[in-house]
Amino acid sequence: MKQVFNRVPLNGSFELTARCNLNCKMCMIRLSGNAAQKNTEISADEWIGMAEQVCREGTLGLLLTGGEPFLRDDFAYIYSKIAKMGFMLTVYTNATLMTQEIFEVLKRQPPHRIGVTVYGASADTYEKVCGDGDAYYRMLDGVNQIKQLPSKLSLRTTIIKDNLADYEKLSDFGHSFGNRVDFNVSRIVTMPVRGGVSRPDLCRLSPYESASLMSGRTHEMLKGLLRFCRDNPYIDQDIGCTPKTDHVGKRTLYGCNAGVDSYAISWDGRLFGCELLEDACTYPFKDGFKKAWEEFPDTVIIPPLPEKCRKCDIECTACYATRLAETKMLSGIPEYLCNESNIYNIMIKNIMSDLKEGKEREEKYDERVYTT
Amino acid sequence: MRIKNTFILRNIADVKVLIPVENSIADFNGIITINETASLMIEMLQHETSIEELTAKLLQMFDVSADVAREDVECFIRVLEHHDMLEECQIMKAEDAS
Repeated sequence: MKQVFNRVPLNGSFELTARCNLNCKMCMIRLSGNAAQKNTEISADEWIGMAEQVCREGTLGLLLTGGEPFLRDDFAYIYSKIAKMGFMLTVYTNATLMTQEIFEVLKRQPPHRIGVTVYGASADTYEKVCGDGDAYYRMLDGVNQIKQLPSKLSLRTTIIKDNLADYEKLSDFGHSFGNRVDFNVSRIVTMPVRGGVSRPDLCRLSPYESASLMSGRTHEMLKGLLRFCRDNPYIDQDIGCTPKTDHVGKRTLYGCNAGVDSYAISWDGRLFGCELLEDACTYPFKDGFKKAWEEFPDTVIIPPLPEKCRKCDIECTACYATRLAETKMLSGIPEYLCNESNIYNIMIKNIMSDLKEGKEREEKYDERVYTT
Repeated sequence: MRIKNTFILRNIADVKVLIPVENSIADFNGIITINETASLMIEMLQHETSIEELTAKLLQMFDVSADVAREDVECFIRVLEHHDMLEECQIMKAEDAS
């Protein structure tokens, strides 16, 4: 058995279903044919039994997610049982399928956090991104109900070409709730995993657009930081990246928390390091969670990184999961992420330089500077 | 008195923690890490327990005087009462009455 230091399954996610009522262009996991999947999903009682097992093994943070978990007819039943067990519970939803039954159970047993994905600031944008314009109004109704709960609320969005124009409005919407709600934008839209059929490559932002969006957000954050750190010679941005040396130390499998203190269990009953890492899995419903967790490291085989990555000193967003999603290989070179990270890093350096000199960055940098 | 059933005592990686669920989340949305002594008392408070019983348990488990044990128990119960974590408050009721 691989020696991995002190593994504890502290954080887990249960993907209750891969089905969704929306058809988002950039979805990572959407499969074809909702109806067929329904018959092969893990049953409610099996999920509840799995929650009892992970509770015994020390899971503290548990995420119930999908697909769209509210699409399950038995979501309220599953939730009501799991919410009693003593997890720090999070639910991810698109909030468009809130029923009286689900709202009542959430009111009675609120989760600690609810993450609502929002895809646009109008019915038109929802139509373009998700194929369902009315979902926008249902989302607004759902969020209005959710904000009555004592749970922390996170509004989460993914920006693609189709909703880029809505970004400011989405940001305003997120911030309109004040400090009790946080607003998160996914940094990178990856290619689908586990047989997902969407085509994010046709709709995601160009590396330049993505880097511009993210550096704009970082700019605001850095301005705030600089106010508090005037005396520092520089501020080092810690951006996650794949370790470039031999990563398989005793404390990690993939160079991150995956499989060491966190795991994801998919809608069809497989345990992965995270929801993107389909290279290795065990079977907790067949073998029991304890055995599946203990044996997981034996299934992980990490190839060496390509020379180009080992020699590169750019801080990038490529991890083994995104490499796998982008290239279908753990050691693949994800060109899209490379380009985005290169541009982002240059932009951040320029922003830092401007900020240190006291300049406000009003002008937009020329795309050609970054992409040639 | 007993601890409300909306606080779940869990052992996470050999650390005892109290996790609020249901309506308790409205007052406190986080986790409470507790030490060995508090854990012992919380375990007893899962069922109907008196201050005398808690004191007796501390005397049995730790090398302390009866006065110190009683004082520690009352201090801990006061904290739980202050945060509305008990089904029935004893100390604050008594203090209110006097």
